Amino acid sequence: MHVRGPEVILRRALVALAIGAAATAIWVVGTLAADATKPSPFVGALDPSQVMVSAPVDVTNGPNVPGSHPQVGRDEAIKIAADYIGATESPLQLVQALAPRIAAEPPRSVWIVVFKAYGSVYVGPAGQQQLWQPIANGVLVDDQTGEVLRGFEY
Amino acid sequence: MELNAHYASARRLALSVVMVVTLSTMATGSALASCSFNRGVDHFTAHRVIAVQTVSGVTKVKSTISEYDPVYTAANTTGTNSTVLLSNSTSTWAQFGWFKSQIITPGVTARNSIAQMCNNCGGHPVNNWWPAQPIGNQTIYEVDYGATGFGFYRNGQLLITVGPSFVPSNYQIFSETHDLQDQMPGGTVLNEFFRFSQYFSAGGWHNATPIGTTEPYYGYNNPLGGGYDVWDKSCT
Repeated sequence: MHVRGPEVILRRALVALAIGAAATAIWVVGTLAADATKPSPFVGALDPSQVMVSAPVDVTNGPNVPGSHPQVGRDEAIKIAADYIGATESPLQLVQALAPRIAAEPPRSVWIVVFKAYGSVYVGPAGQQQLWQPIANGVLVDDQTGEVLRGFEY
Repeated sequence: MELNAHYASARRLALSVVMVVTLSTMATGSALASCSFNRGVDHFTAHRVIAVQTVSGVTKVKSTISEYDPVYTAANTTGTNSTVLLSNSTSTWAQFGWFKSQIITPGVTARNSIAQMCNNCGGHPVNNWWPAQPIGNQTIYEVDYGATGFGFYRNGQLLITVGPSFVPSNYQIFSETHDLQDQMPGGTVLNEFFRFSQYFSAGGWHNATPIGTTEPYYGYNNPLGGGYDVWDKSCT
């Protein structure tokens, strides 16, 4: 019977630990790198952080995010959002994400229903107005309760 | 020590009384105004009754604004609003307040609280909106500069922080329309009110400069430091 000494066991444990740490580091760096280059899920490349949205995934043409469990279905969410803002056209995009109603509250799982924006408006400080032609409107619907939390336009 | 506590208590009481008296002078009607416009359609960029001041080191602006329900014809979809704003150039501003407009859905008039942010945004600012506060309420709207973004506060509660930020050099507090066929907030009977309008610089809050306009269609008054009344002369 071959008996390993404590030094051998310790050395192997340290090697295993080092391999594990290296693998973790590679995964983290890889994930961060992927996130840094990942295109915005929104049309017009809106920065999700500017609308307080995290982990957004465009599910317009695909299945729901694996592991998500919306109690409000996608068709129902689209109807709720359209009714709320009076939209009459089909949405451009459907996004699943995490987002709070306001900064002071915890994030919830939401549907973001994105409609095409129309028209043009003047915006800006006094004497310096610019003509703005918005691209899209997003409406955040709580995917558990169907509540419209807020929205954004860009 | 005990005397100081008494003075502090008395100061708090006095402040409360001033606030109650001031707020009680602010009408809280909810009826839509009645207007009789005789001034055509102009699709103008902006009609404003405004307080504007360049202040080195300004970092915050706030005002308690009454939630008014102006007559809005949508002759110009830009809408009507009463807001506070920090800026430093043509292409940098952060604005917050109530809007009545068809900004979100053309053909559908809605009232919302809208936080708007542009930092050299190439003509594409970002609007974040929430359902409006009830008509007749007095709402504290505040915009705070921060190194990573602007904080937008409603009644002291942070709703959102939006970056990237810029260093502001002026503040603005105003009511605004974009067409002579739309009502400037406030009527001759029920004015639009701004109260406790202040900016923050040099480590403290200061009363904002008086409000005014050169346009003949609108009335204004500055009854208190940082307290403004605004109205449209064609509306009651």
